[in-house]
Amino acid sequence: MGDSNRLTLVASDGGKFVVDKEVVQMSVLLKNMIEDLGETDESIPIPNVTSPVLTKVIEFCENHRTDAARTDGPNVDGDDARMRTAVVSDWDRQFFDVDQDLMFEIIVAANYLDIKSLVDVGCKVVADMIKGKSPQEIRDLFDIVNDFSPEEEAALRKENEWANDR
Amino acid sequence: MAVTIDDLPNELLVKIFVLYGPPRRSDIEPFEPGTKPERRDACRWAPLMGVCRHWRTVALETPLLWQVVDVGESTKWLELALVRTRDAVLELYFHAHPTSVKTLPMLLPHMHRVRKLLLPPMSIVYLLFLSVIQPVAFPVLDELRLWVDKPEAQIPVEYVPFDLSPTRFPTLRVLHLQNTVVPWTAATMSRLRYLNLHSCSPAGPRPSFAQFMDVIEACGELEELVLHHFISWFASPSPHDSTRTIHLPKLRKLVLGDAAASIAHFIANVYIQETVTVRLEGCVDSELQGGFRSLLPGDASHLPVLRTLTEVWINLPFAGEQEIMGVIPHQSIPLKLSLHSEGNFSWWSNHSRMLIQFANLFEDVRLQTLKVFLQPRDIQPFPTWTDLFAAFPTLHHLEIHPGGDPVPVFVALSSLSHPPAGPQLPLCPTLKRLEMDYLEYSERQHGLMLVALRRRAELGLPKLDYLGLRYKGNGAAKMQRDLEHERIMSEDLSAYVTQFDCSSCI
Repeated sequence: MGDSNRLTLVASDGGKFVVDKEVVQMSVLLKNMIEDLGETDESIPIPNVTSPVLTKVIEFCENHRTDAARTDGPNVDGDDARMRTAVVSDWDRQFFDVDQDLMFEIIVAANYLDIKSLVDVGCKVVADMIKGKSPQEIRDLFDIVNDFSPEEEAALRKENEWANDR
Repeated sequence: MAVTIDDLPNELLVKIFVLYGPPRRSDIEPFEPGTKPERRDACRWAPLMGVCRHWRTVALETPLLWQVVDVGESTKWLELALVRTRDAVLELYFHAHPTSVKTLPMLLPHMHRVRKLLLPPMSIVYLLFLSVIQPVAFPVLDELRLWVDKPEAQIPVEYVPFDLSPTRFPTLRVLHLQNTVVPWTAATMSRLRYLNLHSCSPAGPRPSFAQFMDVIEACGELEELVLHHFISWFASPSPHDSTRTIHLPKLRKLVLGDAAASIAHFIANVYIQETVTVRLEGCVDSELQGGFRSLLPGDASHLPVLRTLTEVWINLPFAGEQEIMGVIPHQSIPLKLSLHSEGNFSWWSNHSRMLIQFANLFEDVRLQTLKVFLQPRDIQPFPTWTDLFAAFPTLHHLEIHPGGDPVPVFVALSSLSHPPAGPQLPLCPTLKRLEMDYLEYSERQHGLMLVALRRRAELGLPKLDYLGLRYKGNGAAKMQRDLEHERIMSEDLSAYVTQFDCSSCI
């Protein structure tokens, strides 16, 4: 019988990670799975997440395990307001100081695993990256193709004028 | 395979759009009385629609992004928002542009889905809006705020009060009104969680104070109550009126700004739990009588937070608000009592009296930290300090800014209490830390300080852990020179103080 306070996660590439249950339970998806499984020694497969990404996700959860309780409860309005004013901590910014592929993989994995605090911080980091940039600069940053026709661009410019004209 | 921003689920892209906007001031701090909420910049994300078709499609298909609308001069954006929100609830923030009148016919068919409505009164927009929407019901309206840019007159605007009846506003929970006539009835107010009235008046003939309290008593759901210049619209209670003990079990914040006597009447009737953040901002006339005590009824037992404070700052500036702040370090200010005068009142001549009144008010409170801020540099006489210190025998930490001449403070600290009965006791027997700044040097000061500290030692009191004296000009150097001379000749300060910090004030 293994340590009942820890369990093993298996990444999509077979990598195994033994993690404290308390840390794992920051993921709503995994928390529900653990509750369904009850006491078990079975490993939990995470089919959509590779080992490098799962390593980062676990690192985040371990660092934020003590503030997990704070993510419960607030209503949507309060949450939006909190996130808009929240300053990404130095640790979180350092955590996301990775190449873009890995950054988006972490956000997608956090969304799949339903780890709200990681999704929030990830989206805030992306929002901060594009803040103050023109659409063209954003396209350049994320390698996005401009697929608008000239007519559509003209219509967009008009809408933006209305937005600024309120 | 690499993951890019295109692989993010739409809901995450929407989240990024929402977070793209700058923080609104109202997210950071609540509106202060008399201030108008700033424009929301709700569509700050709009340029992001110009990045690519996918981003635009996501924005167009997300009513949530469009539902907060600043209603201003342009109707074009409002038209877009009304269509693109589909059936989602709306938050409308009107601004005082006369041209927003044009929007009214456009908005009327959508009132059934307005969740928040912010209107500026005292403008053509408001008056027209009121007349147009009088028969309209707002089945999902949760929050209503009417505010003014600048009150044009001290008296509230005379118009028919807004009909806030539950039949028209069944879901109203947040009400913030300024300079309006208020239907002060239990039916209207009892369902509210947040009530903020600033310079409003009750509808109809002047109601009694008992009628005012009847409505307060019915407001069991209130979490925040902010009343500025409202209580005094009600007739003062007569000496024969009995007081009651109203409990507001969900209250988290109470702010009362009014004539000091009106505030005291309120506190006499409402029990304020210790968990409530309290701000009492009283206005007094030129005859300062009770000082801070005038904000509270004779029996302050309805405000138990008074008795639980361990750190208090008292701030007595030359002019403006005179304040007492109860402080929980690194957290919040659970209690703030402030006094101001609408006349040209010279507070400084009353500071000594106010310090003693403060001591009387907080007597028996087990204060550990007391910080006294005085302006102008106010050399209080020795008996003032004696009375102040006698009230707080549990004090560990004392700061006085600016200290002026420190000698009266030292003399008081080496004195005995003079109770009407019982034994005389040393003052501040547990004092560990004393700080004073903006001190003025004088030649005999060091000697008198040593005498006082020696006297405390003779009374059996422990050494101070820290003594910080900050002098104006080159006073610190002179004081250190004097103490060094004294150390060589006869007496060393280190016998009475573990750490002595004598420096120039910045």
